[in-house]
Amino acid sequence: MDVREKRLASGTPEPFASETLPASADNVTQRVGNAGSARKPYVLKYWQIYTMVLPGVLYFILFKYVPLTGIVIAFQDYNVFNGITGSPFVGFKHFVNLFTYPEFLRVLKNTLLISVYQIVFGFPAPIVLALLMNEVRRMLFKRTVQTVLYLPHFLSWVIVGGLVINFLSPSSGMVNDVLRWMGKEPVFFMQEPGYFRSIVVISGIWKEVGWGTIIYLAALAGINPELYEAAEVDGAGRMRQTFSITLPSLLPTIMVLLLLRIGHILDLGFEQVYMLLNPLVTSTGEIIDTYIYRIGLLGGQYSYTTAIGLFKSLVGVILVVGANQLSKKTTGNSIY
Amino acid sequence: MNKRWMTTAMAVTVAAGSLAGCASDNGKGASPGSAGGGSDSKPVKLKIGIGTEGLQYIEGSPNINEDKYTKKLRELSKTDFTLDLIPHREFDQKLTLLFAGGELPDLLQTHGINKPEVAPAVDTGAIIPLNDLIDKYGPNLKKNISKEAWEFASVSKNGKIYGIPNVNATPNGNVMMVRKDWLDKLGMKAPKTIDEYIDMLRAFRDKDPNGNGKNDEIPYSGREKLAFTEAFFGAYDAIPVDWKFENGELVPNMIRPQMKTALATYRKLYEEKLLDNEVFVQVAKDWDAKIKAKGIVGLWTHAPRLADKWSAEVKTGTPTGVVDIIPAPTGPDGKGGFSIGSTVGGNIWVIPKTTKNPENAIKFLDWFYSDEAQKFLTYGIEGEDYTVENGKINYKYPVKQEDIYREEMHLTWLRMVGPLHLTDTEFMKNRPSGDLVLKAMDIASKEGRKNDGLGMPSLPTLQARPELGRDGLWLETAAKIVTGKEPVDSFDKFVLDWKKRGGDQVIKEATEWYKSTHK
Repeated sequence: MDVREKRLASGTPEPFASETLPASADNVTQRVGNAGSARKPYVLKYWQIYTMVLPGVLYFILFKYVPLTGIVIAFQDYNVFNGITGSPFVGFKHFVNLFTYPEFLRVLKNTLLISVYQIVFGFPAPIVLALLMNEVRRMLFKRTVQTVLYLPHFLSWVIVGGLVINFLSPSSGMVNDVLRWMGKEPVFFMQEPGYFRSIVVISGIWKEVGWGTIIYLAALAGINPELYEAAEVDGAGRMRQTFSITLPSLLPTIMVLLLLRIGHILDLGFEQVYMLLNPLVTSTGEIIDTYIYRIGLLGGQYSYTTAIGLFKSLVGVILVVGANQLSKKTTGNSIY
Repeated sequence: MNKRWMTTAMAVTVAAGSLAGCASDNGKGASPGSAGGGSDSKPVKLKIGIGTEGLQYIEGSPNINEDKYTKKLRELSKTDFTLDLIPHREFDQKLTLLFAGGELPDLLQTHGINKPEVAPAVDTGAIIPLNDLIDKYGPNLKKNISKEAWEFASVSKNGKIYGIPNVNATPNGNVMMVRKDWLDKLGMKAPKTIDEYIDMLRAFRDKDPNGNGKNDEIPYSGREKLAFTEAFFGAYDAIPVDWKFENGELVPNMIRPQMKTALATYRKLYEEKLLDNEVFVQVAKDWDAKIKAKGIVGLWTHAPRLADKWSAEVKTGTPTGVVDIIPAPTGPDGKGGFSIGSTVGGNIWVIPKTTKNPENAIKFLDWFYSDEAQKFLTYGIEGEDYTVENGKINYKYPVKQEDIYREEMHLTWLRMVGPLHLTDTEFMKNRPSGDLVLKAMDIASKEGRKNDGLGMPSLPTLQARPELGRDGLWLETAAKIVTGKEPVDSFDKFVLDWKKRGGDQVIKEATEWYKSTHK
């Protein structure tokens, strides 16, 4: 598993990745290392490497660790005019407020359900697509398909949300035109709580599946061709090769991405749901992020929303650590 | 940058591409014709935070500070101002962020000093009181803005003025607009009561008034969150966001029994497809397109001051389309109409503590009352928007959609304070559909429902539990009842739930406010 691939996958560089440096990096250190000065401290000896890692470390300190101090406002009655230093401490008031909010369970349930659907259906989609693309032998066709599939990723949810709503609209939407043509009554997709989660998951897959294949295709390209040649000699067909060689080779990549994804189980991406939400589907569609937006930003309750955010992060950390241990025990793959 | 400036009768000459450079230190309007004549002092600088109002021209502008009208206003007001746009959709949020960030403009637009995002700024002194400044530097403001407006809750607090209001054309901001050509075609008169309205809507639905042979008409349409569809709530005197003082308590209309009756009516409208069935998911542009470009909507609700704009824009989609303004449906008590607001407009200008020379901002706003400012704001730029023949102004009234959008820029948007163009009878008389606006204003002034909660600051419990507001539990319940997902009787359950969750406390707080202000 290459560090760079991991970074691509998670969208952020990982500070712990240095432990799993691939063999190629070791070669580099040997080359740049000054063999004559073995007495020097490690840091000075390999200063080039450390210099290279510096920007990443600085980024994390500046943009991830320094803002953590802001968590303190979750325990205050924060007011923007008094600032962090001038706001009174109130202990766990905001957490109590969150857990006693009558709709909290509903919001949590929606968040978890949509997230689980996304993992069950959305997570394997790019893997399957990558495997299919891997079998395509015509390069021109493959390139074209790839490009077309990447495109939706570059559109914002504001645009895609509008497309989805128009596409499913009962008066002008293509789906309902087909239904009408078949002699059926138009369906108000966006107003039916029963359809909402499916719409969110499907539109999410449509938008991101192409982009998700990149990392898998990169991993596929790294599989040793000799393995396939040997399998062919042993009389394995294409299916057999896929299941015995391709998938096992992809497994480390898949596991790492899955673990990272599990950490985000409570963040579904606010934009997507917010764009599609309306009062008729809040019962199945309101998630923690949209709730934060409605209550916190529109109501200006920063302390309360920070408390919710903290709760989300805690759940995320617990899940990641748990899943990581489990994965370590069962598959031997882990992110640290 | 090389815009063609036509030399005009004005004594001001502007070098192409230069910013307004006629300097004189006082922001007060010189009388037209006496240009500053380039003294050495620099024009005062001013940073203005202003909302986009969702206007297409503003939001579509590549750089509003380079716009020809902005430049002209700079030149005329002799103030070197820059505009920082605040997006219309996230206005309240962005304002909060501005206050939190501390990087405030010198002059800031708000929607009232009693709004939850602005009120703490007043309390902590982040916004300065303006009484002395207005006395000293704003004679025209003082003279032209009424005492009631200065005392209104969104402008002043505890006798101190914190904001400079713009004026509302009519306190009642909404009227019913109908396709008169449809009514004529069906040989119908304008309806009055709820039942007559429903008959009209049924005819719109069934009798193909647009004559295209298709059953595609939408009798009454509105926008998401039931916005601009409140005609029948008004008929039952139950405008959702308003309040009524009854039996010694100030109660929100949301939970009054009249609301249940109103919701039952909406349910019927929705079921019979008289109310646009997409009303809960429809954003502004779709609603716009249905009325204007497609021309398939028979009845809608909007601001009386924009009646001429609607009339012109409907014609862009249907050249034969005629818009008329009719009285809103009347309910059991024989009255109807929308919420009557205050004469104070929605935009209140405040000056943050961080402003170095607040008097410049006051002088700048005061200048808007000068004839020179009024002439520019109403008629635009000479040679482009109007010509002068024998001393008479010959204004090119816009016809095309893009020109209508462009006109809004100087007619309403740049008019930060001061009298509205609607009060300029000469301008309105010659305006296509100008009489329609006057009719709309007249109807708006004769109908409407009183809101006993007018000017109420945001209540603590409502801030802590926003779900008790109109767009929370009420909207969810209303949506389910109207679309037939739940029986009308589920309204009773909602009322109990609302009270239990803190609604009783909300009523208590509201009543205390009412009794302390209405002695």
